[in-house]
Amino acid sequence: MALVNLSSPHHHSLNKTSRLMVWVLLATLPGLAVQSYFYGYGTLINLLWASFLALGFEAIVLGLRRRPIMPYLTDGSALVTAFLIALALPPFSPWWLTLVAVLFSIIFAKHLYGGLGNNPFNPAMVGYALCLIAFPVSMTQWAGTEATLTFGQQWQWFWLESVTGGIDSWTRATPLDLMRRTNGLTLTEVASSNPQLGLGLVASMWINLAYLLGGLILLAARVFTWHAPVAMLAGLGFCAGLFHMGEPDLYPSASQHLLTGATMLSAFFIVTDPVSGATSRKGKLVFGVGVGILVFIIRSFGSYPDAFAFAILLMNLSAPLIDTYTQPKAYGHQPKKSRSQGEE
Amino acid sequence: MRKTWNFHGGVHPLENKTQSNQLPIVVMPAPKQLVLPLSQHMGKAGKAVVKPGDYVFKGQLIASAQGFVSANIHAPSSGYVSALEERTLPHQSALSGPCIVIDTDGKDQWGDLNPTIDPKLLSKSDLLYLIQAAGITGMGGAGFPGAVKLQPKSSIHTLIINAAECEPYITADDRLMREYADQIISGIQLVQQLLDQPQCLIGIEDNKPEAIAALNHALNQHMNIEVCVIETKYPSGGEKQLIEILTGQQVPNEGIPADIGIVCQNVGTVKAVFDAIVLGQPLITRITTVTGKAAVNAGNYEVLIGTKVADVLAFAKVDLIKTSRLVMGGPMMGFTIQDTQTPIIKSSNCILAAADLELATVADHHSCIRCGLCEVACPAELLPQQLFWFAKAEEFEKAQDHNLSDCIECGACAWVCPSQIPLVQYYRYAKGRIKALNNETQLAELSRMRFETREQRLVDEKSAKEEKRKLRATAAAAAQAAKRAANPTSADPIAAALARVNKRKQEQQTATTPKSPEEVYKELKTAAAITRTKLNKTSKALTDAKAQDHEQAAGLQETVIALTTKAAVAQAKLHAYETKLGLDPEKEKILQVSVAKANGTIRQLEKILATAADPKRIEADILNAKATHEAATQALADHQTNLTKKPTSAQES
Amino acid sequence: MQTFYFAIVILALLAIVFGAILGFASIRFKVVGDPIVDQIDKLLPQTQCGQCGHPGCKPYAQAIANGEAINHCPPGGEATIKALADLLDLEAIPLDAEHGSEAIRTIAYIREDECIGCTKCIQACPVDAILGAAKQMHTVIIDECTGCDLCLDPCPVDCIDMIPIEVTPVNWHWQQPEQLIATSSSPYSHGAPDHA
Repeated sequence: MALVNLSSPHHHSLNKTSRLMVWVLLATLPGLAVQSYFYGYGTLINLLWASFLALGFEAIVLGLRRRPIMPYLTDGSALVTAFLIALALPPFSPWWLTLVAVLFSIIFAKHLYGGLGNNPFNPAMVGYALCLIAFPVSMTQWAGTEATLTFGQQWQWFWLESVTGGIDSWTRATPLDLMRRTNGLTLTEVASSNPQLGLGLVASMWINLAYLLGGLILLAARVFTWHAPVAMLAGLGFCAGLFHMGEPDLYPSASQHLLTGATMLSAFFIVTDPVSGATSRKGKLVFGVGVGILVFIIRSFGSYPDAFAFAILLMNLSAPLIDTYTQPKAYGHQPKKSRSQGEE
Repeated sequence: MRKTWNFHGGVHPLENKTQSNQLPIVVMPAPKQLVLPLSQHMGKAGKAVVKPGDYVFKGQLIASAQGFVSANIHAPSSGYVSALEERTLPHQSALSGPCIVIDTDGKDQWGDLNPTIDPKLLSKSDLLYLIQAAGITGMGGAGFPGAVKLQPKSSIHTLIINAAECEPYITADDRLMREYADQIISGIQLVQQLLDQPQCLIGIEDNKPEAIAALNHALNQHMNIEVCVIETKYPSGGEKQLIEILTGQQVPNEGIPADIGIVCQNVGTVKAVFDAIVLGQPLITRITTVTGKAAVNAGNYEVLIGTKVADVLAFAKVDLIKTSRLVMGGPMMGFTIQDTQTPIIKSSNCILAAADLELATVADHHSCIRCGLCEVACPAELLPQQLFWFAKAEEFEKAQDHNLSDCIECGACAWVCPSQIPLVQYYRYAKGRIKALNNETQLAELSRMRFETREQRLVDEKSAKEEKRKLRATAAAAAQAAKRAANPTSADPIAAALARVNKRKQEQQTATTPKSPEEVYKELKTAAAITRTKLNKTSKALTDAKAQDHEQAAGLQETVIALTTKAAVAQAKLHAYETKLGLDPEKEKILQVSVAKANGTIRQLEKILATAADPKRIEADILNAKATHEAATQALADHQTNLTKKPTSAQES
Repeated sequence: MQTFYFAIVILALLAIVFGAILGFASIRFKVVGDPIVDQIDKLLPQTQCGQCGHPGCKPYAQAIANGEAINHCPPGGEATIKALADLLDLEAIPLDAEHGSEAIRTIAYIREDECIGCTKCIQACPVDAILGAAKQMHTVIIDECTGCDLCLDPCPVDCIDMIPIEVTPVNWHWQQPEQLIATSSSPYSHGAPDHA
């Protein structure tokens, strides 16, 4: 009988970091499935490749930093980064693009700052933003949705960047890209004049809905609180709605903003990243609204096809400031009016 | 149903209450020995009023309260006081403290009891006196002396009885309410009587339906008491949380519940109040839950205060081999004990004998991912993860800015933490360090003041001396002037002065005549020494001058010659006097050296002794050396007495 | 020419007016701050032990203000050096071993039956924390002892012991948990704005 001496509490919820990460990974599956349904095997191949790279780099860096490898590898954070990169990259991105993104996010954005928990920026977004700036052409190759490549063709494209039969007929500008170059036409008008774009819009909508489903699963599993994603969607929706009301021809509607591009992916899987986000509930609201507004501004007036990477990185920068000003009032620090929570 | 509120945060750990709440309370017989720590409560320790060997009756006062925040201690059973000594305390540190040890005689014989037949007639001060005398402290865990809370400075509108018992595993209050509901209600009425009849709300979690039914059964319409059933959520039994649940009000920061007109008492405490006033029995027993997978007879036991944990565990058939962790108190806030000789005290509500894997394992903890689950769980509405970073980095000022002091150490944050960081330990560490640093700062400030006062004192003393000297000088001058003024006719002052000098010389000479030979000897010695030094100095100056071919060299040469003769004369005079006295300075020097040598040997030997392999031999050596030392000292002393004796004889001869 | 004089007059007037305003402001809004010596003195541990080579903390504070190194105070240790470095905007340097090493805090106890009542320790105590009179037994006021050691040397019978402060349940506190899996070499999160 060796009695241990420990500080209370002696009980634990048995909640683990790896459990949270597994939930996040599982919640991406609906989005992954829908994305693959519309765009073929590209995302899947990318995902496997990114996961392999992320685990590999993580293990190497942990070894170099003389940290225990297995406990950190199994916490799942590297896999989450890999998943987010793979899902955010276009399905047609070649192997080296993923390599650059993963390498940069795991080594530079994560471990050089001290590893999990100490990175001020979301690693996946750092890797994504780098690729967006360095390789804009590859980053905007989205496939058309009318026909998908076979697995073999996709595999060939992934490694060689050529497909027997040529790729030209397969790639399209993204709906978001077109949204900004409507030449004064509304989206419905554009869609009716260009059926392929219409299809793209539909695909984008379904993908976003799938990610929304994943996000709701995470909310139900209490992996994160509702504050950040809801605030982000509200911020984006509000701005989009306001401008759309003023100039419906120039600015697409709120629902189109919310259901195109990576809106839902970022709202539920990236804005909710706790490490690089704000801390308190109030802070998360501010953080989310900030991301929403920045996404709208960059999408509407910027020169990049999608904006969430930059919006999130910019808000990551201001997270410490937000934290400073949104510290909650501790118990008993202000005379509160009775806060009713229903009858017993 | 009464409207209730919710508090922020909270968690829902597995309740684990059915293991121990099924069976009625079992009274445990008095053990062979009782250990009663003098400090079982917050505040000052009591002072023992018995001494070893005294016979004490059950309920007899054995330690009296010291000051306002302190409590009496009574003998839980009859027997002899066998010791007043340091024993392991029921405290996380497992340190020892002063305890009264009683060997019971098995008779369990009560001393005189003074039950009150009609407590309604008692005045407030009588009630307070009885509560104080019975040594009642909070039975919920913190152990705050009960009478202190019951004499609030402001008027009280609500009395809250804490029957929430939100910690998992513990069922002591649950069983108490089921079996002693009437006594509890009477106790509440006594407290109401004491506090000018405030309304009373009993806060009880909805996982205790039998206890709720028992209380409701004991109540009648006319009483100003209400049982408020609240949602089961940890830590609803925290005083501040329960107050918020029942009244919607928050206790102000750094304030006490009485500031908002509320007094909160544990349900066990009001039962003790009943016992003290109606039965006249002091607080000498309590209900303690023994539970955990290692306990075969898990349940609630009425044990005497001071019973050792080992006895309780044996009585409840706890398998100590299966036990890997003994927790006193609940799993969320209790502390581990390693010594089963630790006694049960007034606030020990539970002993949790946990088998392996029953409680959270000593897990590796990962790094904080700032997930914010702790912030959601924190009932004090703090930012636990920020506090954690600050505590880890020892940035205590920032931790205080983030209201670390408001942390109630409930453990909800550590319970939810997915990285399994022992957050509460970090906060306790930071709090302890902050307290220590504050003490240090206070001490430093005190030292600084004392140092400055001392410096000032020294300066003052010095200047006072200087002042005195000056005063004396001016007084002397004034006296002289007065003299002169009084005697203006006497011839010119120079002549007068000369006359005075001559007179003084004569006086001196007459004074010198009876000079003792010792003084003469001393004077001669000094003179010889002075001339020697002068000679040395001059000859040194001479060699320097010679080396530099200085023109003073010739003059110096002469001085040296003169001094040499002078020194020789002084030395001769001294020598002559010495022979006259029969003194031998050479011998004295030799004796002194031998004493010092002996002394040194002793010191050295003692040093060796500390590390020596065979201390016996060296001890013998030391004894030898000491003998030598003594002999040498004796010889020297003899020689010196010669100095004082011989001169007299020399003078006589 | 007239414009020229005019300009000079105006400039002169302006100079006078602004000078007056500035002068007024400097008196009216004068920041009454602690002199730097007092600020330094506040950070020193006030053991008055003289290990720095000065007869007390205040003199050392004065010396630091005059440019002496900040690492001569063993009782204060790293914490004091850091605080001084922050105050004076200097680099925190390791403790100068010449002046002693950081040791646990102790308190002087007089073995009272051996004390001969020579008052030498009373004179040596920098904070007047020893009580006694000639030929009478002395004792240390433990609440006021700074543990400076200065009473040890003068004692002719070596009856003073330096004993570490006792750990009691009142002053005991938890230590930091052991880092079982440590990650962050830097303890700062970006939650602290000045480190982001």
